[in-house]
Amino acid sequence: MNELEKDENGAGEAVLALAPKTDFSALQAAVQQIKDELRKRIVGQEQLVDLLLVAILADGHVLIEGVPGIAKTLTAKLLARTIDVGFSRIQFTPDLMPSDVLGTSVFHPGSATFQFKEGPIFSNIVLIDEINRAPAKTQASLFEVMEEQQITHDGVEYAMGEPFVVLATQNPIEQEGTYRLPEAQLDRFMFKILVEYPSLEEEVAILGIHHQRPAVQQELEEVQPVLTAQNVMELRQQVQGVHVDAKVLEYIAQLVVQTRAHKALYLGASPRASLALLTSAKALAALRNRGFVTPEDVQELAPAVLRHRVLLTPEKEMEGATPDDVIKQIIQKTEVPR
Amino acid sequence: MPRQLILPKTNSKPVRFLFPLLFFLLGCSCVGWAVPETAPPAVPGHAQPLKLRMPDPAKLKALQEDKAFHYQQDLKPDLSAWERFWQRVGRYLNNVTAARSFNVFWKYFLYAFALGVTVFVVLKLLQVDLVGLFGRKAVPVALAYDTYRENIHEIDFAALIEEAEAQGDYRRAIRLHYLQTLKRLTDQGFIHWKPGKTNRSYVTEIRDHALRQSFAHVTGLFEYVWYGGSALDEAHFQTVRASFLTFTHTLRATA
Repeated sequence: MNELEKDENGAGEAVLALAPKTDFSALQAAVQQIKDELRKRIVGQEQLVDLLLVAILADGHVLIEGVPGIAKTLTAKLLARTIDVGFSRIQFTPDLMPSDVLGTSVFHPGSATFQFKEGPIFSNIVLIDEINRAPAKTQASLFEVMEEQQITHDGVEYAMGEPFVVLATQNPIEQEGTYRLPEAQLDRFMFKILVEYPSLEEEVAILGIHHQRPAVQQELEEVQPVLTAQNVMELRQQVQGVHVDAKVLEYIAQLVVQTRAHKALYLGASPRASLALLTSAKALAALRNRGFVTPEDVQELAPAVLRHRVLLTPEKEMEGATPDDVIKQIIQKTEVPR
Repeated sequence: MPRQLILPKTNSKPVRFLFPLLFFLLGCSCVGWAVPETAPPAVPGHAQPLKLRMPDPAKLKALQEDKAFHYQQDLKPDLSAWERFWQRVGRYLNNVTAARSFNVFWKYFLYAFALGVTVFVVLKLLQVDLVGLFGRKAVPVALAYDTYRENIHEIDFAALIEEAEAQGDYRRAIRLHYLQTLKRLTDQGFIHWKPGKTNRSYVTEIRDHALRQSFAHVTGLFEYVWYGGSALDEAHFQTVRASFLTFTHTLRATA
Protein backbone atom coordinates (compact mmCIF):
# COMPACT_ATOMS: atom_id res chain seq x y z
CA MET A 1 0.00 0.00 0.00
CA ASN A 2 1.30 3.40 -0.93
CA GLU A 3 1.76 5.81 1.97
CA LEU A 4 -0.25 8.45 0.17
CA GLU A 5 -3.35 6.27 0.35
CA LYS A 6 -3.43 6.85 4.13
CA ASP A 7 -4.27 10.51 3.60
CA GLU A 8 -7.37 11.55 5.56
CA ASN A 9 -8.61 14.32 3.29
CA GLY A 10 -8.23 12.21 0.13
CA ALA A 11 -5.42 14.22 -1.42
CA GLY A 12 -3.24 11.13 -1.68
CA GLU A 13 -5.88 9.16 -3.53
CA ALA A 14 -6.52 12.11 -5.80
CA VAL A 15 -2.86 12.37 -6.72
CA LEU A 16 -2.42 8.62 -7.12
CA ALA A 17 -5.43 8.55 -9.45
CA LEU A 18 -3.71 11.07 -11.68
CA ALA A 19 -0.24 9.51 -11.49
CA PRO A 20 1.12 7.34 -14.32
CA LYS A 21 -0.64 3.97 -14.31
CA THR A 22 1.91 1.40 -13.35
CA ASP A 23 1.59 -1.94 -11.62
CA PHE A 24 4.88 -3.14 -10.27
CA SER A 25 3.37 -5.75 -7.96
CA ALA A 26 4.90 -8.67 -9.92
CA LEU A 27 8.27 -6.97 -9.89
CA GLN A 28 8.02 -6.22 -6.19
CA ALA A 29 7.14 -9.83 -5.41
CA ALA A 30 9.97 -11.20 -7.53
CA VAL A 31 12.53 -8.87 -6.02
CA GLN A 32 11.41 -9.75 -2.52
CA GLN A 33 11.72 -13.46 -3.29
CA ILE A 34 15.21 -13.00 -4.73
CA LYS A 35 16.30 -11.04 -1.68
CA ASP A 36 14.91 -13.74 0.61
CA GLU A 37 16.87 -16.40 -1.25
CA LEU A 38 20.06 -14.38 -1.06
CA ARG A 39 19.64 -13.54 2.62
CA LYS A 40 19.77 -17.22 3.47
CA ARG A 41 23.45 -17.23 2.45
CA ILE A 42 24.58 -13.63 2.30
CA VAL A 43 24.80 -11.37 5.32
CA GLY A 44 24.49 -7.64 4.71
CA GLN A 45 25.52 -6.37 1.24
CA GLU A 46 22.06 -4.81 0.84
CA GLN A 47 23.30 -2.09 -1.48
CA LEU A 48 25.19 -4.60 -3.60
CA VAL A 49 22.09 -6.75 -4.03
CA ASP A 50 19.87 -3.73 -4.81
CA LEU A 51 22.26 -2.41 -7.43
CA LEU A 52 22.66 -5.85 -9.01
CA LEU A 53 18.88 -6.11 -9.33
CA VAL A 54 18.67 -2.59 -10.77
CA ALA A 55 21.34 -3.48 -13.33
CA ILE A 56 19.53 -6.64 -14.40
CA LEU A 57 16.28 -4.67 -14.81
CA ALA A 58 18.08 -1.84 -16.64
CA ASP A 59 20.00 -4.14 -19.01
CA GLY A 60 23.38 -3.15 -17.62
CA HIS A 61 26.66 -4.79 -16.70
CA VAL A 62 28.19 -4.54 -13.26
CA LEU A 63 31.76 -4.30 -12.02
CA ILE A 64 32.13 -5.28 -8.38
CA GLU A 65 35.31 -4.14 -6.68
CA GLY A 66 36.54 -5.15 -3.27
CA VAL A 67 39.33 -6.85 -1.43
CA PRO A 68 39.37 -10.67 -1.51
CA GLY A 69 37.03 -12.58 0.75
CA ILE A 70 33.98 -10.35 1.02
CA ALA A 71 31.53 -12.53 -0.94
CA LYS A 72 31.69 -10.67 -4.25
CA THR A 73 31.76 -13.83 -6.31
CA LEU A 74 29.34 -15.72 -4.08
CA THR A 75 26.74 -12.94 -4.28
CA ALA A 76 27.01 -12.81 -8.06
CA LYS A 77 26.74 -16.60 -8.32
CA LEU A 78 23.74 -16.76 -6.02
CA LEU A 79 21.97 -13.96 -7.88
CA ALA A 80 22.59 -15.76 -11.16
CA ARG A 81 21.04 -18.89 -9.65
CA THR A 82 17.85 -17.02 -8.75
CA ILE A 83 17.22 -16.36 -12.43
CA ASP A 84 16.55 -19.44 -14.49
CA VAL A 85 18.83 -18.63 -17.40
CA GLY A 86 22.18 -19.76 -18.74
CA PHE A 87 25.10 -19.04 -16.46
CA SER A 88 28.81 -19.31 -17.09
CA ARG A 89 31.84 -18.30 -15.15
CA ILE A 90 35.19 -17.27 -16.57
CA GLN A 91 38.20 -16.99 -14.33
CA PHE A 92 40.43 -14.33 -15.88
CA THR A 93 44.11 -15.19 -15.67
CA PRO A 94 47.23 -13.50 -17.08
CA ASP A 95 47.57 -16.08 -19.89
CA LEU A 96 43.92 -16.02 -20.98
CA MET A 97 43.45 -15.35 -24.71
CA PRO A 98 40.48 -13.64 -26.43
CA SER A 99 39.60 -16.92 -28.16
CA ASP A 100 39.31 -18.56 -24.73
CA VAL A 101 36.49 -16.14 -23.97
CA LEU A 102 34.74 -15.61 -27.29
CA GLY A 103 35.31 -18.94 -29.04
CA THR A 104 37.37 -20.14 -31.96
CA SER A 105 37.13 -21.89 -35.33
CA VAL A 106 37.87 -25.62 -35.23
CA PHE A 107 38.60 -27.73 -38.30
CA HIS A 108 35.99 -30.41 -38.85
CA PRO A 109 37.63 -33.31 -40.73
CA GLY A 110 34.33 -34.89 -41.80
CA SER A 111 33.16 -31.89 -43.81
CA ALA A 112 36.67 -30.44 -44.32
CA THR A 113 35.40 -27.07 -43.05
CA PHE A 114 36.03 -24.80 -40.09
CA GLN A 115 33.26 -24.63 -37.54
CA PHE A 116 32.88 -21.94 -34.89
CA LYS A 117 33.01 -23.29 -31.36
CA GLU A 118 31.32 -20.87 -28.96
CA GLY A 119 33.28 -19.69 -25.95
CA PRO A 120 31.96 -19.29 -22.41
CA ILE A 121 30.75 -15.77 -23.15
CA PHE A 122 27.76 -17.36 -24.90
CA SER A 123 25.44 -17.39 -21.92
CA ASN A 124 22.86 -15.15 -20.27
CA ILE A 125 24.60 -14.26 -17.05
CA VAL A 126 28.37 -14.31 -17.34
CA LEU A 127 30.43 -14.03 -14.20
CA ILE A 128 33.95 -12.85 -14.96
CA ASP A 129 35.96 -13.40 -11.86
CA GLU A 130 38.96 -11.16 -11.25
CA ILE A 131 38.62 -9.39 -14.58
CA ASN A 132 41.73 -7.28 -13.99
CA ARG A 133 44.00 -10.31 -13.83
CA ALA A 134 43.90 -10.62 -17.65
CA PRO A 135 45.95 -8.26 -19.82
CA ALA A 136 44.42 -5.53 -21.99
CA LYS A 137 44.26 -7.76 -25.09
CA THR A 138 41.82 -10.17 -23.47
CA GLN A 139 39.87 -7.43 -21.76
CA ALA A 140 39.45 -5.65 -25.10
CA SER A 141 37.77 -8.75 -26.53
CA LEU A 142 34.74 -7.86 -24.38
CA PHE A 143 34.17 -4.45 -26.01
CA GLU A 144 31.79 -5.57 -28.72
CA VAL A 145 29.89 -8.16 -26.75
CA MET A 146 29.24 -5.85 -23.81
CA GLU A 147 27.98 -2.98 -25.93
CA GLU A 148 26.29 -4.69 -28.86
CA GLN A 149 25.56 -8.09 -27.32
CA GLN A 150 27.18 -9.86 -30.24
CA ILE A 151 30.60 -10.96 -31.36
CA THR A 152 32.10 -10.94 -34.83
CA HIS A 153 34.31 -13.87 -35.79
CA ASP A 154 35.72 -14.42 -39.28
CA GLY A 155 33.30 -11.79 -40.55
CA VAL A 156 30.26 -13.55 -39.11
CA GLU A 157 28.17 -11.97 -36.35
CA TYR A 158 26.98 -14.16 -33.49
CA ALA A 159 24.27 -12.64 -31.28
CA MET A 160 23.97 -13.32 -27.57
CA GLY A 161 20.77 -14.57 -26.02
CA GLU A 162 18.56 -12.30 -23.95
CA PRO A 163 19.02 -11.29 -21.22
CA PHE A 164 22.79 -10.84 -21.39
CA VAL A 165 24.45 -9.50 -18.28
CA VAL A 166 28.14 -9.43 -17.40
CA LEU A 167 28.94 -9.43 -13.70
CA ALA A 168 32.65 -8.88 -13.20
CA THR A 169 34.63 -8.82 -10.00
CA GLN A 170 38.00 -7.26 -9.46
CA ASN A 171 40.44 -6.56 -6.71
CA PRO A 172 41.53 -2.97 -6.20
CA ILE A 173 44.08 -2.00 -8.84
CA GLU A 174 46.81 -1.48 -6.28
CA GLN A 175 46.87 -5.25 -5.71
CA GLU A 176 49.75 -7.36 -7.00
CA GLY A 177 49.48 -8.82 -10.51
CA THR A 178 46.53 -6.81 -11.76
CA TYR A 179 46.03 -4.71 -14.90
CA ARG A 180 44.02 -1.50 -15.01
CA LEU A 181 40.90 -1.90 -17.18
CA PRO A 182 40.84 0.33 -20.29
CA GLU A 183 38.55 3.37 -20.07
CA ALA A 184 36.53 2.13 -23.04
CA GLN A 185 35.72 -1.07 -21.20
CA LEU A 186 35.00 0.62 -17.88
CA ASP A 187 32.50 2.83 -19.69
CA ARG A 188 30.59 -0.28 -20.73
CA PHE A 189 29.81 -1.18 -17.15
CA MET A 190 26.63 0.45 -15.91
CA PHE A 191 27.77 0.35 -12.27
CA LYS A 192 30.96 0.00 -10.37
CA ILE A 193 30.01 -1.18 -6.92
CA LEU A 194 32.49 -0.87 -4.11
CA VAL A 195 32.11 -3.62 -1.53
CA GLU A 196 33.37 -2.87 1.93
CA TYR A 197 34.23 -5.16 4.82
CA PRO A 198 31.22 -6.27 6.89
CA SER A 199 30.55 -4.65 10.25
CA LEU A 200 31.29 -6.49 13.49
CA GLU A 201 27.66 -7.61 13.85
CA GLU A 202 27.59 -8.81 10.26
CA GLU A 203 30.86 -10.67 10.73
CA VAL A 204 29.42 -12.48 13.76
CA ALA A 205 26.30 -13.35 11.76
CA ILE A 206 28.48 -14.71 8.93
CA LEU A 207 30.31 -16.94 11.39
CA GLY A 208 27.02 -18.13 12.84
CA ILE A 209 25.64 -19.08 9.42
CA HIS A 210 28.80 -20.81 8.28
CA HIS A 211 29.41 -22.69 11.52
CA GLN A 212 27.23 -25.59 10.42
CA ARG A 213 26.77 -24.79 6.78
CA PRO A 214 26.63 -27.42 4.05
CA ALA A 215 29.24 -27.57 1.29
CA VAL A 216 29.33 -24.56 -1.02
CA GLN A 217 28.10 -26.50 -4.05
CA GLN A 218 25.18 -27.94 -2.09
CA GLU A 219 24.48 -24.45 -0.80
CA LEU A 220 24.25 -23.11 -4.34
CA GLU A 221 21.99 -25.91 -5.49
CA GLU A 222 19.52 -25.11 -2.73
CA VAL A 223 18.87 -21.68 -4.24
CA GLN A 224 15.60 -21.70 -6.12
CA PRO A 225 15.14 -19.83 -9.40
CA VAL A 226 12.64 -17.02 -9.06
CA LEU A 227 12.54 -15.52 -12.54
CA THR A 228 12.79 -16.90 -16.07
CA ALA A 229 14.37 -15.16 -19.04
CA GLN A 230 10.90 -14.28 -20.26
CA ASN A 231 10.02 -12.73 -16.89
CA VAL A 232 13.16 -10.61 -16.95
CA MET A 233 12.38 -9.31 -20.42
CA GLU A 234 8.80 -8.46 -19.39
CA LEU A 235 9.99 -6.60 -16.30
CA ARG A 236 12.50 -4.69 -18.41
CA GLN A 237 9.69 -3.67 -20.71
CA GLN A 238 7.72 -2.42 -17.73
CA VAL A 239 10.69 -0.45 -16.42
CA GLN A 240 10.99 1.26 -19.80
CA GLY A 241 7.55 2.76 -19.22
CA VAL A 242 8.54 4.63 -16.05
CA HIS A 243 7.90 8.36 -16.44
CA VAL A 244 10.84 10.79 -16.38
CA ASP A 245 10.02 14.46 -16.25
CA ALA A 246 11.98 16.89 -18.45
CA LYS A 247 13.36 18.60 -15.33
CA VAL A 248 14.83 15.31 -14.10
CA LEU A 249 16.34 14.64 -17.52
CA GLU A 250 18.02 18.04 -17.37
CA TYR A 251 19.24 17.26 -13.86
CA ILE A 252 20.86 14.01 -15.07
CA ALA A 253 22.51 15.84 -17.95
CA GLN A 254 23.79 18.59 -15.64
CA LEU A 255 25.42 16.12 -13.29
CA VAL A 256 27.19 14.31 -16.11
CA VAL A 257 28.23 17.42 -18.03
CA GLN A 258 29.74 18.93 -14.90
CA THR A 259 32.18 16.02 -14.64
CA ARG A 260 33.64 17.18 -17.96
CA ALA A 261 34.34 20.72 -16.72
CA HIS A 262 35.45 19.96 -13.18
CA LYS A 263 38.99 21.10 -12.48
CA ALA A 264 39.71 18.07 -10.29
CA LEU A 265 38.89 15.66 -13.11
CA TYR A 266 41.17 14.81 -15.99
CA LEU A 267 38.47 12.82 -17.81
CA GLY A 268 34.73 13.33 -17.50
CA ALA A 269 31.84 10.95 -18.04
CA SER A 270 30.49 10.15 -21.51
CA PRO A 271 26.90 10.41 -22.79
CA ARG A 272 26.75 6.66 -22.16
CA ALA A 273 26.93 7.58 -18.48
CA SER A 274 23.86 9.84 -18.87
CA LEU A 275 21.97 6.99 -20.50
CA ALA A 276 23.05 4.57 -17.78
CA LEU A 277 21.95 7.01 -15.10
CA LEU A 278 18.59 7.45 -16.78
CA THR A 279 17.79 3.76 -17.31
CA SER A 280 19.04 2.73 -13.89
CA ALA A 281 17.04 5.51 -12.20
CA LYS A 282 13.93 4.19 -13.95
CA ALA A 283 14.65 0.69 -12.67
CA LEU A 284 15.23 1.97 -9.14
CA ALA A 285 11.96 3.90 -9.22
CA ALA A 286 10.18 0.70 -10.29
CA LEU A 287 11.87 -1.23 -7.49
CA ARG A 288 10.45 1.39 -5.11
CA ASN A 289 7.00 0.93 -6.61
CA ARG A 290 6.96 4.35 -8.23
CA GLY A 291 5.96 5.12 -11.79
CA PHE A 292 8.23 8.13 -12.09
CA VAL A 293 11.84 9.08 -11.36
CA THR A 294 12.75 11.61 -8.68
CA PRO A 295 16.07 13.46 -8.23
CA GLU A 296 16.55 11.27 -5.16
CA ASP A 297 16.87 8.20 -7.40
CA VAL A 298 19.39 9.99 -9.59
CA GLN A 299 21.48 11.16 -6.64
CA GLU A 300 21.52 7.69 -5.12
CA LEU A 301 22.79 6.05 -8.30
CA ALA A 302 25.17 8.77 -9.49
CA PRO A 303 28.27 7.55 -7.59
CA ALA A 304 27.91 3.95 -8.85
CA VAL A 305 27.35 5.15 -12.42
CA LEU A 306 30.06 7.81 -12.54
CA ARG A 307 32.92 6.69 -10.30
CA HIS A 308 34.58 4.40 -12.86
CA ARG A 309 33.98 6.77 -15.77
CA VAL A 310 35.94 9.72 -14.44
CA LEU A 311 39.67 10.15 -13.92
CA LEU A 312 41.16 12.41 -11.30
CA THR A 313 43.95 14.80 -12.17
CA PRO A 314 47.36 13.63 -10.91
CA GLU A 315 47.42 16.48 -8.36
CA LYS A 316 44.11 15.38 -6.83
CA GLU A 317 45.23 11.75 -6.78
CA MET A 318 48.36 12.77 -4.91
CA GLU A 319 46.21 14.67 -2.44
CA GLY A 320 44.36 11.43 -1.74
CA ALA A 321 41.02 12.49 -3.22
CA THR A 322 38.70 9.87 -4.72
CA PRO A 323 36.23 10.10 -7.60
CA ASP A 324 33.44 9.69 -5.04
CA ASP A 325 34.56 12.89 -3.29
CA VAL A 326 34.30 14.87 -6.52
CA ILE A 327 30.97 13.31 -7.49
CA LYS A 328 29.59 14.13 -4.06
CA GLN A 329 30.76 17.73 -4.46
CA ILE A 330 29.08 17.98 -7.85
CA ILE A 331 25.82 16.60 -6.44
CA GLN A 332 25.89 19.07 -3.55
CA LYS A 333 26.52 22.02 -5.84
CA THR A 334 23.84 21.19 -8.39
CA GLU A 335 20.38 22.47 -7.68
CA VAL A 336 17.77 19.77 -7.35
CA PRO A 337 14.90 20.55 -9.72
CA ARG A 338 11.77 21.38 -7.80
CA MET B 1 115.81 -34.12 -56.45
CA PRO B 2 115.07 -31.46 -59.12
CA ARG B 3 112.45 -32.18 -61.66
CA GLN B 4 113.46 -32.63 -65.27
CA LEU B 5 111.40 -32.01 -68.31
CA ILE B 6 111.19 -35.24 -70.10
CA LEU B 7 110.24 -34.93 -73.71
CA PRO B 8 108.86 -37.84 -75.59
CA LYS B 9 111.32 -39.62 -77.74
CA THR B 10 110.61 -38.97 -81.38
CA ASN B 11 112.32 -38.98 -84.69
CA SER B 12 113.25 -35.24 -84.27
CA LYS B 13 115.43 -34.30 -87.30
CA PRO B 14 112.75 -32.39 -89.31
CA VAL B 15 111.63 -30.52 -86.13
CA ARG B 16 115.10 -29.19 -85.43
CA PHE B 17 115.01 -27.22 -88.73
CA LEU B 18 111.42 -26.16 -88.41
CA PHE B 19 111.92 -23.64 -85.55
CA PRO B 20 114.85 -21.66 -87.10
CA LEU B 21 112.84 -21.43 -90.32
CA LEU B 22 109.87 -20.06 -88.48
CA PHE B 23 111.96 -17.34 -86.78
CA PHE B 24 113.53 -16.38 -90.07
CA LEU B 25 110.21 -15.91 -91.80
CA LEU B 26 108.86 -13.81 -88.94
CA GLY B 27 111.93 -11.60 -89.09
CA CYS B 28 111.43 -11.00 -92.81
CA SER B 29 107.82 -9.92 -92.36
CA CYS B 30 108.75 -7.41 -89.63
CA VAL B 31 111.32 -5.76 -91.86
CA GLY B 32 108.69 -5.37 -94.57
CA TRP B 33 106.15 -3.59 -92.20
CA ALA B 34 108.65 -1.09 -90.93
CA VAL B 35 108.85 0.70 -94.28
CA PRO B 36 107.45 4.29 -93.87
CA GLU B 37 104.41 5.46 -95.88
CA THR B 38 104.94 7.95 -98.64
CA ALA B 39 101.19 9.11 -99.02
CA PRO B 40 100.63 12.95 -99.67
CA PRO B 41 99.29 15.17 -96.77
CA ALA B 42 95.49 15.88 -96.53
CA VAL B 43 94.24 19.34 -97.79
CA PRO B 44 90.78 20.99 -97.23
CA GLY B 45 88.37 20.38 -100.00
CA HIS B 46 86.79 23.88 -99.92
CA ALA B 47 87.86 26.03 -102.67
CA GLN B 48 85.54 29.04 -101.82
CA PRO B 49 86.59 31.85 -99.29
CA LEU B 50 85.00 31.82 -95.77
CA LYS B 51 82.22 34.38 -94.93
CA LEU B 52 82.66 36.57 -91.80
CA ARG B 53 79.43 36.68 -89.65
CA MET B 54 78.65 39.83 -87.61
CA PRO B 55 75.73 40.50 -85.11
CA ASP B 56 72.75 42.49 -86.27
CA PRO B 57 73.49 46.13 -85.32
CA ALA B 58 69.82 46.84 -84.54
CA LYS B 59 69.56 43.88 -82.16
CA LEU B 60 72.88 44.75 -80.57
CA LYS B 61 71.69 48.27 -79.89
CA ALA B 62 68.46 47.02 -78.35
CA LEU B 63 70.37 44.73 -76.02
CA GLN B 64 72.75 47.54 -75.03
CA GLU B 65 69.78 49.71 -74.12
CA ASP B 66 68.01 46.96 -72.10
CA LYS B 67 68.27 47.85 -68.36
CA ALA B 68 68.40 44.23 -67.44
CA PHE B 69 71.91 44.08 -68.86
CA HIS B 70 73.20 47.13 -67.01
CA TYR B 71 75.09 45.20 -64.39
CA GLN B 72 76.88 48.13 -62.86
CA GLN B 73 73.82 49.73 -61.23
CA ASP B 74 70.99 48.08 -59.09
CA LEU B 75 67.46 48.46 -60.28
CA LYS B 76 64.88 49.81 -57.83
CA PRO B 77 62.19 47.15 -57.21
CA ASP B 78 58.60 48.12 -57.95
CA LEU B 79 57.12 48.49 -54.43
CA SER B 80 53.48 48.99 -53.53
CA ALA B 81 52.41 51.75 -51.13
CA TRP B 82 51.92 49.15 -48.34
CA GLU B 83 55.40 47.73 -48.84
CA ARG B 84 56.90 51.22 -48.86
CA PHE B 85 55.12 51.93 -45.57
CA TRP B 86 56.62 48.88 -43.85
CA GLN B 87 59.99 49.71 -45.34
CA ARG B 88 59.86 53.12 -43.65
CA VAL B 89 58.72 51.57 -40.38
CA GLY B 90 61.64 49.14 -40.57
CA ARG B 91 64.07 51.97 -41.21
CA TYR B 92 62.64 53.93 -38.29
CA LEU B 93 62.97 50.95 -35.92
CA ASN B 94 66.51 50.37 -37.09
CA ASN B 95 67.32 53.96 -36.24
CA VAL B 96 65.67 53.70 -32.83
CA THR B 97 67.35 50.46 -31.81
CA ALA B 98 70.68 51.71 -32.97
CA ALA B 99 70.39 54.65 -30.57
CA ARG B 100 72.27 54.46 -27.29
CA SER B 101 69.24 55.42 -25.17
CA PHE B 102 67.39 52.38 -26.44
CA ASN B 103 69.99 50.01 -25.05
CA VAL B 104 69.59 51.69 -21.67
CA PHE B 105 65.83 51.19 -21.89
CA TRP B 106 66.23 47.45 -22.55
CA LYS B 107 68.56 47.11 -19.62
CA TYR B 108 65.99 48.52 -17.19
CA PHE B 109 63.17 46.67 -18.87
CA LEU B 110 64.91 43.34 -18.23
CA TYR B 111 65.49 44.27 -14.60
CA ALA B 112 61.79 45.13 -14.20
CA PHE B 113 60.70 41.91 -15.93
CA ALA B 114 62.88 39.74 -13.67
CA LEU B 115 61.51 41.52 -10.60
CA GLY B 116 57.92 41.01 -11.81
CA VAL B 117 58.47 37.28 -12.39
CA THR B 118 59.99 36.89 -8.92
CA VAL B 119 57.03 38.67 -7.26
CA PHE B 120 54.55 36.56 -9.25
CA VAL B 121 56.23 33.29 -8.24
CA VAL B 122 56.35 34.31 -4.57
CA LEU B 123 52.66 35.31 -4.57
CA LYS B 124 51.73 32.05 -6.30
CA LEU B 125 53.68 30.03 -3.75
CA LEU B 126 51.94 31.89 -0.94
CA GLN B 127 48.61 31.19 -2.72
CA VAL B 128 47.67 34.87 -2.70
CA ASP B 129 44.56 35.75 -4.73
CA LEU B 130 46.20 37.82 -7.47
CA VAL B 131 42.90 38.92 -9.02
CA GLY B 132 41.69 40.12 -5.63
CA LEU B 133 44.77 42.34 -5.26
CA PHE B 134 43.55 44.50 -8.12
CA GLY B 135 40.10 45.09 -6.70
CA ARG B 136 38.11 42.16 -8.16
CA LYS B 137 37.46 39.42 -5.66
CA ALA B 138 37.77 35.85 -6.92
CA VAL B 139 34.64 33.70 -7.00
CA PRO B 140 34.60 31.89 -3.64
CA VAL B 141 32.83 28.70 -4.78
CA ALA B 142 34.84 25.74 -6.02
CA LEU B 143 32.64 25.10 -9.03
CA ALA B 144 32.14 27.67 -11.74
CA TYR B 145 28.90 26.14 -12.96
CA ASP B 146 26.55 26.34 -10.00
CA THR B 147 23.00 26.43 -11.19
CA TYR B 148 21.23 28.12 -8.32
CA ARG B 149 18.23 29.57 -10.03
CA GLU B 150 15.91 30.47 -7.20
CA ASN B 151 16.29 31.66 -3.68
CA ILE B 152 13.21 30.73 -1.71
CA HIS B 153 13.82 33.65 0.62
CA GLU B 154 13.35 36.14 -2.18
CA ILE B 155 10.20 34.75 -3.76
CA ASP B 156 6.86 36.50 -3.26
CA PHE B 157 4.88 33.29 -2.78
CA ALA B 158 1.45 34.84 -2.21
CA ALA B 159 1.53 36.77 -5.47
CA LEU B 160 2.96 33.91 -7.52
CA ILE B 161 0.53 31.30 -6.14
CA GLU B 162 -2.38 33.63 -6.88
CA GLU B 163 -1.07 34.16 -10.40
CA ALA B 164 -0.61 30.41 -11.02
CA GLU B 165 -4.11 29.63 -9.73
CA ALA B 166 -5.62 32.38 -11.86
CA GLN B 167 -3.88 30.92 -14.93
CA GLY B 168 -5.07 27.40 -14.10
CA ASP B 169 -1.45 26.25 -13.79
CA TYR B 170 -2.13 24.02 -10.79
CA ARG B 171 1.12 22.05 -10.98
CA ARG B 172 3.08 25.26 -10.64
CA ALA B 173 0.83 26.36 -7.79
CA ILE B 174 1.56 23.09 -5.93
CA ARG B 175 5.26 23.61 -6.53
CA LEU B 176 5.09 27.09 -5.06
CA HIS B 177 3.17 25.75 -2.06
CA TYR B 178 5.92 23.21 -1.50
CA LEU B 179 8.70 25.79 -1.81
CA GLN B 180 6.81 28.00 0.63
CA THR B 181 6.65 25.05 3.02
CA LEU B 182 10.41 24.60 2.74
CA LYS B 183 10.92 28.29 3.46
CA ARG B 184 8.75 28.10 6.57
CA LEU B 185 10.63 25.02 7.79
CA THR B 186 13.92 26.83 7.22
CA ASP B 187 12.75 30.02 8.92
CA GLN B 188 11.72 28.03 11.98
CA GLY B 189 14.98 26.14 12.07
CA PHE B 190 13.64 22.65 11.31
CA ILE B 191 15.73 22.26 8.18
CA HIS B 192 18.81 23.86 6.71
CA TRP B 193 18.03 24.98 3.16
CA LYS B 194 20.50 24.02 0.46
CA PRO B 195 19.60 23.76 -3.23
CA GLY B 196 21.56 20.51 -3.62
CA LYS B 197 19.53 18.62 -1.03
CA THR B 198 16.71 16.32 -2.02
CA ASN B 199 13.23 16.41 -0.56
CA ARG B 200 13.90 13.21 1.38
CA SER B 201 17.01 14.83 2.90
CA TYR B 202 14.77 17.50 4.39
CA VAL B 203 12.35 14.85 5.64
CA THR B 204 15.11 13.04 7.54
CA GLU B 205 16.42 16.36 8.85
CA ILE B 206 13.23 17.04 10.85
CA ARG B 207 13.57 15.57 14.32
CA ASP B 208 9.97 16.00 15.48
CA HIS B 209 8.29 12.71 14.58
CA ALA B 210 4.77 14.04 13.95
CA LEU B 211 6.03 16.95 11.90
CA ARG B 212 8.31 14.63 9.93
CA GLN B 213 5.41 12.31 9.10
CA SER B 214 3.27 15.22 8.03
CA PHE B 215 6.03 16.73 5.91
CA ALA B 216 6.79 13.34 4.33
CA HIS B 217 3.17 13.22 3.24
CA VAL B 218 3.12 16.64 1.52
CA THR B 219 6.49 15.79 0.00
CA GLY B 220 4.93 12.66 -1.53
CA LEU B 221 2.05 14.74 -2.90
CA PHE B 222 4.44 17.28 -4.41
CA GLU B 223 6.60 14.57 -5.99
CA TYR B 224 3.62 12.83 -7.58
CA VAL B 225 2.38 16.12 -9.00
CA TRP B 226 5.71 17.67 -10.00
CA TYR B 227 7.88 14.69 -11.08
CA GLY B 228 5.04 12.29 -11.91
CA GLY B 229 3.63 14.61 -14.52
CA SER B 230 0.08 14.43 -13.15
CA ALA B 231 -2.25 16.92 -14.82
CA LEU B 232 -4.27 18.42 -11.96
CA ASP B 233 -7.76 19.80 -12.40
CA GLU B 234 -9.16 22.38 -10.01
CA ALA B 235 -11.00 19.87 -7.81
CA HIS B 236 -7.87 17.77 -7.31
CA PHE B 237 -5.82 20.88 -6.77
CA GLN B 238 -8.08 22.05 -3.97
CA THR B 239 -7.75 18.64 -2.28
CA VAL B 240 -3.96 18.73 -2.46
CA ARG B 241 -3.86 22.38 -1.40
CA ALA B 242 -5.88 21.46 1.68
CA SER B 243 -3.12 19.01 2.68
CA PHE B 244 -0.53 21.78 2.46
CA LEU B 245 -2.72 24.06 4.59
CA THR B 246 -3.09 21.28 7.16
CA PHE B 247 0.69 20.92 7.29
CA THR B 248 1.07 24.67 7.76
CA HIS B 249 -1.26 24.48 10.79
CA THR B 250 0.76 21.54 12.16
CA LEU B 251 3.95 23.53 11.69
CA ARG B 252 2.53 26.54 13.53
CA ALA B 253 1.34 24.29 16.36
CA THR B 254 4.77 22.63 16.63
CA ALA B 255 6.56 25.97 16.68
